[in-house]
Amino acid sequence: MVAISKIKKIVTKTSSTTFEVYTSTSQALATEDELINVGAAYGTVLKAITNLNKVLDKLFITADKPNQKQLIGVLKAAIDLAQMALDLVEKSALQKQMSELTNNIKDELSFTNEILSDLILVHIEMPKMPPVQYSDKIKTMFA
Amino acid sequence: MEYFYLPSFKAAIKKLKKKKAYKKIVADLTFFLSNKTKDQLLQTGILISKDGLFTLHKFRLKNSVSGKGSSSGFRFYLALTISDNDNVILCSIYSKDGSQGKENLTAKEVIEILKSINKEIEALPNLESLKDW
Repeated sequence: MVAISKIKKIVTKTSSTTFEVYTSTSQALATEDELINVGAAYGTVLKAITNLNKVLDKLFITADKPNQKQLIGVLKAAIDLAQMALDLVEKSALQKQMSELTNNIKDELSFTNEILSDLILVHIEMPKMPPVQYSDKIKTMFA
Repeated sequence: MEYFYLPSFKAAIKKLKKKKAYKKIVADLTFFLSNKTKDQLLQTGILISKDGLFTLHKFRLKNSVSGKGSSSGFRFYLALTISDNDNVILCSIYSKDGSQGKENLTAKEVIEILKSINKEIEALPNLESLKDW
């Protein structure tokens, strides 16, 4: 089991990689210079998110580990940044030639989003829900 | 562990396996559940909630037909009795992608899953009919 602090570091690193790619791509699109590097840059974003997902895939999400809440904010920020980077390319002239790569990033991001939703569900939403009242019959059957 | 399948779970499986894209759902699920101890099984899922009677768990299940990554496949929910008798109730299953694809469940929908245990079992004389697919 990977420690939450280590996962946070991986998420933060993913965010910084994505932000660097976003910045360099914005510049390349504005100046129409170095456009040839954009594909490779988005390849690093895909790799970073894929690696992050491999770690998240093994995370046993449970309200019994409240320190997992710390992941919610950083994951949300990482997903927002990746979405910004995707929007940038999808609104540019590179959209067509980058479509396979952006689709792969979207696919990975959908899993990251699911983990974020699960964390929110378990740590924030479910504790606020009223308890389910079971009938006496059910209680007898399963007690 | 003894497995019980809620009528709505069985209906969802029946509906999904009719589609070519999900035709191996029963085999995928059987393979996933078999040869796992309770601890091994529970460590692969997510503990959604805990009440006086059940813990509710969510699992991600790969669809062997699509062969796609973690973001696709199936999601299913099971309730495990808190008592020592290790009864497992399979409550809900859906696909993440394809024509029957669904988004993540909300807290309200998760509560509905727990309520469905009450509703669906209450109507039955005993648990025998829930032991088979």
